[in-house]
Amino acid sequence: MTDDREQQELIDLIERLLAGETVAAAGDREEELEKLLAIAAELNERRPEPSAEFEERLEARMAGLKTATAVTSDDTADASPGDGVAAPGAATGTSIDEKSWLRAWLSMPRLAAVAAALVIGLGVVGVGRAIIRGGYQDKTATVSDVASDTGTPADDVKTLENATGQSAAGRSGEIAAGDTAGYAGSPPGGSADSGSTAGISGVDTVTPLPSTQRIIQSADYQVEVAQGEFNDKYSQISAIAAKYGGYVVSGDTRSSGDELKRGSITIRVASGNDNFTKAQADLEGLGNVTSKKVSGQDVTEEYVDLQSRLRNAEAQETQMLELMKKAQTIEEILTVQSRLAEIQSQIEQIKGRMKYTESRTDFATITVDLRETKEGVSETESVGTNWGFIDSLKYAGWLAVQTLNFVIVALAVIVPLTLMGGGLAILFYRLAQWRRNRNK
Amino acid sequence: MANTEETVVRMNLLRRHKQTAGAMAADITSQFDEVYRAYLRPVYAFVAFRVGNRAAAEDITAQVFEKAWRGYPRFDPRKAAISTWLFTIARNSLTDHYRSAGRKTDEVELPDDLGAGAESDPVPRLEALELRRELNAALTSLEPRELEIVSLKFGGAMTNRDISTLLQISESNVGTILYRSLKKMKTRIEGGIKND
Repeated sequence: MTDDREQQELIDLIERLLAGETVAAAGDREEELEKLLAIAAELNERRPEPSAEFEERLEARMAGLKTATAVTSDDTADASPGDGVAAPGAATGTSIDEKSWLRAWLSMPRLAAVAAALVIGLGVVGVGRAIIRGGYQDKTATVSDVASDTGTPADDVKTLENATGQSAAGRSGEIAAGDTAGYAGSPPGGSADSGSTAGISGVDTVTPLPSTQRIIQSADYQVEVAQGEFNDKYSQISAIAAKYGGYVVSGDTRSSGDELKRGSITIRVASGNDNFTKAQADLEGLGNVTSKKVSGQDVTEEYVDLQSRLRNAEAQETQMLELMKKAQTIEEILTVQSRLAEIQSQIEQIKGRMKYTESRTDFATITVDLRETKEGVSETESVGTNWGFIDSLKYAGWLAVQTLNFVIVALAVIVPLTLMGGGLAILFYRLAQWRRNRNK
Repeated sequence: MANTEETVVRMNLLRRHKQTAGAMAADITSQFDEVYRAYLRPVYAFVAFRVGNRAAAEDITAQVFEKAWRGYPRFDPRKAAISTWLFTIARNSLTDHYRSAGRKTDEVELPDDLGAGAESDPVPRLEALELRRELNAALTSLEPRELEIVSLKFGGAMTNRDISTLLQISESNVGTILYRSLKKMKTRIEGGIKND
């Protein structure tokens, strides 16, 4: 008998065996087939059976599960905690093939390979960025540090936005201009880059905010106070937050070597009722404002979009609930249920994003960088006592060293590249030479 | 043999799916009870063949039916047969089991204790007693895929067609692997007898 025929016959016999027929011991079969069938029969006979004790235990467990999940089984959108694990490849009852394929793929070492590739990729990008920007960024960061610490020759380096000549009315107008400018709080008398025309025109066309207007507002301040006043002012800022229906988000303080305290505090104030403007006015009374930056981002469009998507999804949900009442067969119910679950999770998502947007627009964020300066040595007065020549020299020396550092870093990139390029060039040159010689 | 009863229950189940009208969630519970009754034994047997020890087999079987219960409201009978769906869950649970046990996915364990049935029926079906003793050893000599198909066939009592859908291979391929596996087991058993 050929293997193929033997195989076919065996498969047929196994089917009969599993259907409960007795197929053993027929004289006309070949010995080999008989033996294979005997093994099959033995396997079938030895099929493991669950013990009665286990069946009881499992039955009880399932009964417990059913009562526990009775509510969630109606509402499939409400995923029970185990659901993520619950149905790998079977959660939806669909696309088993797809998911088990995905699973197999993920379970392979490939996952590790992908992760490793990602890490290496990120590392390369990170190193590259560090090399390209590192020197430059370090320099600028320290430049402004030096400038503000010494407080003399390089004042123009930092964008000092003088806010003194600014009225409260002007600011409220700028916020209204936020929908046209996106940059809501440009002080009219400020520095060139922030004193955009949008900010100024906003003053002239003060329009009341439409009730639906959603703007994320924020302000950054740098304020100098006299030595010893830091703690007092710091708690005043907290008080401002409370006064305008807000709260303190975060804060930190540190003191530099010469006992001058420094710190920053972030507060949020409720955005209605002109609170943002009032809070700013209060903050400006604290001390000498050396820098101020106000910005606003209009998210009205996004919010309106979310609103309409929510209305749409809710309408669909109502429809699905109607359909659910009319559903006749299990298939229909299951289909409607799964669609309903989808829509309901969409609704939850949309609501979540709306809440997030609301929370960001209902409160304006103000960050204040507070620092003490030595009494009587404020920036304007210091000109008389410090000519700045030494500082300039120091600064020049520092710049020279930084330039040298940058060149060293740049060399680290250029040298290996040059070597590689040179090597390749020599290789190609040799190759061409060898060919030419061979052709001769 | 339990298989014929199971077949009848499966048929009823399919018919019920098509006929039941206006049923709501409460009905899903009773439906699932039927699924549970029809498939507890095959699923258990399949798992036990694969893991070879009773405690693990019981654990995994319990997991399979818990997962199945959670997933059942979203199971769509038009897109997959119940058996394919349940055994997919069972296979995934086995994968999880091996993974959490820190073993390679398809490593074969020695089926030392295949379940109550093995002990409760001491009447030897085969004349050679050695064959019976060697059967477990023979099972471990199979390749992972072969063991899986043998387990699905004799444990899960699945048709070759269902196995082919589940494993994404052709039906004739299932037959070939089954045939090859039995031959392999026979060679192993005969070798064992000679060695004794």
